[in-house]
Amino acid sequence: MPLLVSLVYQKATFFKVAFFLTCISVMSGCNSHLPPSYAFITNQLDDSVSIIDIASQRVIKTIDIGYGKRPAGVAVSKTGHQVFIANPEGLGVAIIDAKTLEVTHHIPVGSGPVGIVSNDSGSRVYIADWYLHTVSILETSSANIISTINVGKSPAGMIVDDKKQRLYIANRDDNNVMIIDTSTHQILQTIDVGTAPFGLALSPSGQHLYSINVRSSNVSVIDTKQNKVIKTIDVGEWPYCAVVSPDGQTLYVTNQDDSTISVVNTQTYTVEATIDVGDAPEGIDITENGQFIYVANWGDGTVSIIDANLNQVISTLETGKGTRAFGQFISQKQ
Amino acid sequence: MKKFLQLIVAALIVLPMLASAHGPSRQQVKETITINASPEKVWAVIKDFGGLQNWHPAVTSSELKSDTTRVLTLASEGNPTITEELMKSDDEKMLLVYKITDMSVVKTITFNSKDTPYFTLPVATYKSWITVKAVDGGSEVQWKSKFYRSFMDNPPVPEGQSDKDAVNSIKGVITAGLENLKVIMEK
Repeated sequence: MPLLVSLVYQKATFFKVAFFLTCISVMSGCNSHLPPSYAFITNQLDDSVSIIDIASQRVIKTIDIGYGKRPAGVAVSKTGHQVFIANPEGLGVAIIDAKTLEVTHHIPVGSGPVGIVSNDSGSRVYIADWYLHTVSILETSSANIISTINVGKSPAGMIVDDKKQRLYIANRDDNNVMIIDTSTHQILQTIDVGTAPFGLALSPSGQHLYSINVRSSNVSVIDTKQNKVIKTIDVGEWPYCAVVSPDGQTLYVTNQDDSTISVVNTQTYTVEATIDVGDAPEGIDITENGQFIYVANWGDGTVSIIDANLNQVISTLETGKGTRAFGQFISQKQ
Repeated sequence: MKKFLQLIVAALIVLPMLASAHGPSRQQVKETITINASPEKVWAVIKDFGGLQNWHPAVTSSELKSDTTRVLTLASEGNPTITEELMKSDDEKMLLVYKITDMSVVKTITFNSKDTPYFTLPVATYKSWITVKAVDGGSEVQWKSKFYRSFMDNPPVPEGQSDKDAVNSIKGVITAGLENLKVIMEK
């Protein structure tokens, strides 16, 4: 093949592949005009949210949430177009439109909203109040708080399982995990875990719930059929949050005081690897394909991106002061 | 008008509740100093867990109870003690991590009709990291600590036991140690 022809051919192929790849990376966008996948990272001390484009692994925008609001918690929904930011000092929740990347609402709620989670469709958002020991339920269609439930002391991390109609809550100062029926808002059960549970993670099947216990430096594995702790796994110092891989095989735990991630095999309940990240890692989430793990580093205001095949940080992005991203923060995972 | 009423109602509900806040929040102090000496030399001094009295001016003696436990005696009145446990000593990263496991009670006062102990330092759940890095001109030593104030109840807080008091006292400990370390290493 003559050189020129070959070059043209290669270029054409490149464009075809590039187009195809773009289409895959924003598959939802090609099919149903959903926005692309982003990571929404709260920077608590900067009163901002950094938005990272998952396809290019770059910060594409930083949104100002408002002076003194101190955004900490974040929640995305599986199929909705809204992102919810809990502002403990702004005493409310900010809603970001995931298409326009603008703040559309500020909803006052409670006196210390930190933990926040959405159901799959984004129709209901649950907001845990650190000081009032309650969980408030936001109806997103009307932007109204429709109910407030009394829970345990200093509720922190939460997870919704739509299939089981359950909300799981980590009550940090009660050392337990609470199960709420999302249709009746009744407390179904309370399960004792390690000391100071903060983050929660759920396996994709919904069968295993992981409670990350800050002060006992371990993870309680709860079987959600028996509603009891079936295993306790020691991890690093002062662990905070965790996420489960899409295949359910691996649990990634942030260890604030070691500045590491514990990579836990969920079948053997053993730590298989420890990955160095930035200073004081807090929030953690994983991309839909399970290839990249995003870690928010509070201490140095960055996000570490880990390649799951290499178990290594491949990129570190500057975000803002007090980068926290407590909650599920990667959007459009379907 | 409805919005305004909602705000008033929310404020009325929220304000009294703020008083029932949960315990104190975690504090951090981080100080660094540049020392005109090689990182290897500085690290050798820092990693000697039983030898803090050799470079910290406030420490008169350090007794090793085991390879990972030391009891420090301080120069201040009444010779208060601090018991510390070595958690990590990493030669490759030149990183030392330790925590306070016990402290002597300097005095006890009655506050809000409860016995309130004053410890050697007004802190709890104290953890420290010391790292040595090579920089132009020798070494950079970073000493970072995370802790809570020792008074765990909600405000009002007795004198000398606030978050600010805890931060200032640890800042004093760290700064005095780093400055003297520099003097000794540059002799």
